[in-house]
Amino acid sequence: VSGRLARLLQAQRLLVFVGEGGVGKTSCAAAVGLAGARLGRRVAVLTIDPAPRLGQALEIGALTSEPRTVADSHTAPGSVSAMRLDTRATFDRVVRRYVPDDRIASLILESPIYQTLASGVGGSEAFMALQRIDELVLEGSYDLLVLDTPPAVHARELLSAPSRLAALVETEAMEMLANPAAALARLGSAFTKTLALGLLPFLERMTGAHLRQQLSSFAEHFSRVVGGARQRADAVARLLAQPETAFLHVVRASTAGVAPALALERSLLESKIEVAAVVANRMTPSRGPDRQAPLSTRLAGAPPSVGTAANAMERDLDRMRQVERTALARLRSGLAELPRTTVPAVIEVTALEEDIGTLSDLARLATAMTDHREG
Amino acid sequence: VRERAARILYLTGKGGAGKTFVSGLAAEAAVRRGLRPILVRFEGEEDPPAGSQIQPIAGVRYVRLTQEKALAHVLTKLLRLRRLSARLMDSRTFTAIAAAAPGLRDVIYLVAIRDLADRAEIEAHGPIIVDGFACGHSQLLLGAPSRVERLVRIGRLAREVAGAAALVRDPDRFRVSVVSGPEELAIVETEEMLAELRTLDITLGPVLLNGVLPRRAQAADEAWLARHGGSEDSRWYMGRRRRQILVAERLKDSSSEVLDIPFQFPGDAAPVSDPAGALLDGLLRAQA
Repeated sequence: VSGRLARLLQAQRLLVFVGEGGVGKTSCAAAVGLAGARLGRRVAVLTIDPAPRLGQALEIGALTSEPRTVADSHTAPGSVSAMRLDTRATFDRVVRRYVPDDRIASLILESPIYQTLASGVGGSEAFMALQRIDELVLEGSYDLLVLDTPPAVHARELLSAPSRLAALVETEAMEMLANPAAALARLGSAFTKTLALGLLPFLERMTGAHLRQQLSSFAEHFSRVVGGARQRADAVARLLAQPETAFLHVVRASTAGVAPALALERSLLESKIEVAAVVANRMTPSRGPDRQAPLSTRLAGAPPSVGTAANAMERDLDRMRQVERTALARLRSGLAELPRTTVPAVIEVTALEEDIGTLSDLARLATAMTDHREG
Repeated sequence: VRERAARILYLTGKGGAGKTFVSGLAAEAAVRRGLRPILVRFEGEEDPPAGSQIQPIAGVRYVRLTQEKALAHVLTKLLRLRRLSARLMDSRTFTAIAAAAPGLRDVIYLVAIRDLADRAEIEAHGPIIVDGFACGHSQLLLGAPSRVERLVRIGRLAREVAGAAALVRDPDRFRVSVVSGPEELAIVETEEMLAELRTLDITLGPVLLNGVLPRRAQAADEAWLARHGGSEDSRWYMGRRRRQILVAERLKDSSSEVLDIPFQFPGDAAPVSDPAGALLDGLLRAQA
């Protein structure tokens, strides 16, 4: 087995797929899972994609937050289990784990604030992805985890998720709401004190007492959850930074795709993450050998309108190839200008003929990914 | 006043579906109709701006709305004192509260857009085209007024929230359209998003199907190429187009109105059909 991707599949414990929405992260993650299994690894693919299609393609029915195993005819000698990241279900489990008192746990679970938080705002989706990885690592049944990150969650958010969620409940703001007197006593300057004292009645007026009550009782209970979960999340954040973790950045080679891809690379570098490879997905296939002969020879005996049509389609695909080559060249020179130790390999994956709908389609994508042009 | 009220077209869709592209088309169509459109883009951590790729269109006013800008706007309005609101914005305490209160940070965008629309009306600008967030975030944003209404019941903020809720629910003034690519996965997600949006109290405009390959061969020529071969590229092109048409047909069965925006090859003249114009005319006709 050769190739950059195959090497990663053998050596890493965690592969994190990042990229803009719509580039094909989920399919790539599943295909890489199959490729890893063929190399003998026990793989868990964790996706956030709520669409039922991936489960159908893997032929294991709808994905749930519990792992389901793919038929071994496509995965031997290894195995692939797939599961969906259910932010709400993971969040509920975390709450119950850190709040043994059933009554208080129920208070949290029923709070409208919790329900909004658990539906994926304030970094909770990224936070829960980390919690789920942690659960799977502790469980120890897999030796390669493949994470498909949520479209809206950039990897940088993934890394900062624990501290951001903690910040939500640990700031002076929350403290002040939960226990105004104590919080005020610790505030520094007279100005801040005056401002804060003015703030409370203002908030009351602005929001009505209802919001304040809700926030304050929620903050009081919820801080336990975050306190406990934070320690584990820190451990996972360390795992993300270790050499056995690799980030793969999936892109579309299109004019509009270059700038967001470079922006994502820059934001990753700010978090000291260098992606192991860039995957240029769904490339137009290269010109076939038939193009060496002129169209008139290849279409001998055809009505002239066939020649006109075929000529238009060949010209269109050539234009697409040109757009893709230009975009990849701009991406490569952009990557080379970024402050990093090594320029990542760009793995070009040719678009499949069919949309992905079955396990054999995914297997073909797996082959296309490990058997690629590289530059 | 009703006749002149600035209407709002909110575009959403899966990432990469072409929201920014379609919002540009709609703004161009508005300029061609002699209007003075405002194009609103959100900018946040989740949505890095495509940056250099966006070419400004003459006659379009661009408004970049960040969470900070929207929050500052709402605060100034609530407090009626710019200086105090600036101080509050500097306070980590306050911004943390705004971020923690569920739905509040989404509602402030809608309050800012509503005020933008009211001002636009006075200045004879409009329509307002919002290059919105991707599916999931847009669902949160558009559902925010109802969620926040439950939490914030009295006070000035409650009035602002009620105003945002009324705007979003106004079938004459506020339309939401989903932009979708012509691929299997994109269509599945578009159908799911449409189902979710139908549960909210908003008016849905047509779905915009972006990027179907133009037809290059008549049926007889396609049949000849399929039978005799001779052009691998043509076979590939026709195969992809056929799959796009298939999933598009499914979408057309399940959605009341679908507008096609054909794939635009670089260097080709703009197609004769004007889907963005049709989209805009639907919005402008809404009060009739």
